[in-house]
Amino acid sequence: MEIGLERRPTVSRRINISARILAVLLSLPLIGLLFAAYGVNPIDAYLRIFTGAFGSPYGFSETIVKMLPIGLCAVGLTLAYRARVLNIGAEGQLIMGSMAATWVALYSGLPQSVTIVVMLLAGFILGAAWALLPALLKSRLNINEVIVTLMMNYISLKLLDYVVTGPWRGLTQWGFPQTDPFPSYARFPMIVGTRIHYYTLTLLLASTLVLYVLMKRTKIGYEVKVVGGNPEAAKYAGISVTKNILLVMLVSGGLAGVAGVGEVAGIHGRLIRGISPGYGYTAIIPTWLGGLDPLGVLVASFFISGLMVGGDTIQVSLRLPSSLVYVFNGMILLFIISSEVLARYRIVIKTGGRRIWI
Amino acid sequence: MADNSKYLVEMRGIVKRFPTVVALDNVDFRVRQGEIHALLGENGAGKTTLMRILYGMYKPDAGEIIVEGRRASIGSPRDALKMGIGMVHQHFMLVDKLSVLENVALFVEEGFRISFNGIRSRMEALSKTYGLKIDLDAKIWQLSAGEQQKVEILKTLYRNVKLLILDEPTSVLTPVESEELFKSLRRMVETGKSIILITHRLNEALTASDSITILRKGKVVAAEVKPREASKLDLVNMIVGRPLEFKPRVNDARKGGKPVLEVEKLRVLDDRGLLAVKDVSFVMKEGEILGVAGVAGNGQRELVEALTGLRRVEKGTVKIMGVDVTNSPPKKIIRLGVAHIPEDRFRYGVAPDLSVAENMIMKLYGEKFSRRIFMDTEAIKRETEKLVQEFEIVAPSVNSPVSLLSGGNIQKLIVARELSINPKILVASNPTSGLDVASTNYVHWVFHRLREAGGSVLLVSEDLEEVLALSNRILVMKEGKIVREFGEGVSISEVGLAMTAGAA
Repeated sequence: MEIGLERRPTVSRRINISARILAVLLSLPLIGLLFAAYGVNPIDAYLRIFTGAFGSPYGFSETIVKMLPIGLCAVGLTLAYRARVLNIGAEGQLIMGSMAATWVALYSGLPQSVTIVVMLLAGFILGAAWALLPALLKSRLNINEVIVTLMMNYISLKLLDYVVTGPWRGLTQWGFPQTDPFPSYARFPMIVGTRIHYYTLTLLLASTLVLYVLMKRTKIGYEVKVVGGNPEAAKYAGISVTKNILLVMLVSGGLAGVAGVGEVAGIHGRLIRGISPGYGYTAIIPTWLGGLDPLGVLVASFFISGLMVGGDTIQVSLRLPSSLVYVFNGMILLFIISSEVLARYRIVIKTGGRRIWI
Repeated sequence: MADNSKYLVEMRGIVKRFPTVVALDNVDFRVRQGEIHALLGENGAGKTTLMRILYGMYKPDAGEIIVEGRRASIGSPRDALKMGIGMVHQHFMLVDKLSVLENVALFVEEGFRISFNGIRSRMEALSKTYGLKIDLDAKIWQLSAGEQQKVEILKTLYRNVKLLILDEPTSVLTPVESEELFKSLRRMVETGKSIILITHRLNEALTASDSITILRKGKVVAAEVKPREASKLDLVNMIVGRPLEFKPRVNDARKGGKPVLEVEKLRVLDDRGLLAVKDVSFVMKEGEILGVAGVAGNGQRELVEALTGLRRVEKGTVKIMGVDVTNSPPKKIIRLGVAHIPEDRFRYGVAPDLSVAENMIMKLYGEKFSRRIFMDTEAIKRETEKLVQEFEIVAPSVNSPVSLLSGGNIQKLIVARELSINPKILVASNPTSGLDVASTNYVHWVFHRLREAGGSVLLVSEDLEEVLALSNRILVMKEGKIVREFGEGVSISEVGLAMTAGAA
């Protein structure tokens, strides 16, 4: 008997999805070892994570709350990664968006009726602007976007620290590193009984749908795909690589910026230090888990958000460190990346003259 | 060459199945010691697959391999090399930034320490024995394709191989270089080594080999044919299985057509920033096939890229249909009706992970295959299937990634796509490299048809036979300049001489 790998003639959607589900399932026993090392029954831990995230109306709504920033970042990253522009800077772009919205809410003096709209626009624009610099460096000078976007995350983090401890520190906040609360007209309404700020939810669903159609059905989507597939071939086919790099970076940066607006205007009602617990980084996982397909990415964002909420639950109920959830996420990402092999190749088992493939 | 010499390698009853096709169907193949054995066949006939099995890259589904009388199990190229079987691939496996010596060291050193002096002296001896001269300290990127091939051959010889497999070695060589290669191969054979030569060029098989085996659609149609007992026509009939439809002819150019491409004092730099095209001027007319002959690396690539908008023009002008397109973006040039079959099909020609259909529409996606901002999926499928059929492209489906196709089929895809835009000008660099006899014939016929319809072709090719058979005029390029111009009826040796000897 022989076991080997061979290329699949076509990669179907079904195969892509099953390979990813398999990846998640395979990561479970491994992380289970970690739970066991803490003296916790892994099955019990998984059940608690699951019920914590999806088992109660409260848990479910909190999962949605987390899905808003993660999903917005992830859907934007999907477009960038399709073009093989590896934007690792959603975190920084999100922070810049939250700062832009805060300025509009507290210092712009705009009429109340337009404040929210301007906050969203400003968030999108500053998030996009934060992505513009790495995009220009990549398209003009061929400087690696991974490093530039990553480094710019730290710059934005320090900028945030500066404004909340310096010029924007709230007068009514007893010295805490946060701004004064936003006036009510600068806050997003929530679905009653939950913290789901539905403006952001609407924007997330709308952008998912728009990007889905854009990538699947339009010329822009096709161009992005060719640029991602082979930039030299794109050039040869008359497709502007520069234009497409700028486009995908601006869109992904802008959507991350909108995620930041949602956090200040929807959840906290003010700008605080540590406005994002790493949503921009976490978003990278559902982007790959969702197979760079906006609808898949939305579902994956929901799942990953559930893990984070469930992680909070076991942190309280089993007194486990919450960082375990990040370990969990990391494992899943590693497994997904490895599962690409299964999506592109099939396992062939040969016994005698017979061939069986999976 | 002795017919009574014993077999070095015997492959018996080899079967290899791929997901959608049977690539090799019960193939027997034998090579004697001390012979050059040519392996012929169309694209997808199974030549490369058979050789990859012999070199341990693929495992056969059935069959056995006998090396020097003993049954051998070859599980990897490492095993093959241990048994004295080496292979030089079409795409060289060299590290650009390292020197020749360092590349050889990479291939041969197994332990922790590298003895460069030892390698150097052996390499010098080998290159002397076989007449393969090379500067051991040159970096790979500084070498021409022909020189890189010498490095590949030497590095395989360094491993003391008894059998050397060469996959289309002359596709990157000039006529003079090819002659030198065959002299070196002859020397190897004289020292008792055997050579397997995969080729599409029938003249080579007839003049340089001792024995010929022909594959068609995964089966052996003729084994151990003696070249002196076969004609070119016999070979074509055996390879293709039917007579070729089109006989290329050149004497039908339109006289006095208006100029479609005007190049004036063009200067272009290469990747290293050195002047590669030096004040080149020429005019191509409507309905003309203009050949550009020259040894690879004499500025042809830079010239072609400058004409198609892929490389900056330093000085001079390019006019297409009377419109100045100097340093215009590729899109503008494409819109004027310029198609381009690039020299390096993997660099520009395709996006390998994208599907056959997605690659097929790359040039017209914005016009023919879309309505406003949306892509027309129906039209894409229809057109792709039509072209796949017309050009006989072998692909599992139009939705399969291009990376699953063989090199020849990828080339067919590119040719099909470029011709599908109904070009006024076709800039073709080595358009038939890697294509089999029948496909080459078909492409030549399409060029001819394009010319009949008033189109023009700038045919840049290292295959002199092809240039001579099709071109109305021939420009010879050397060291970035056009050194000669020939009309019709020139002989291959005249052009060959101009390519190497320089300006007349």
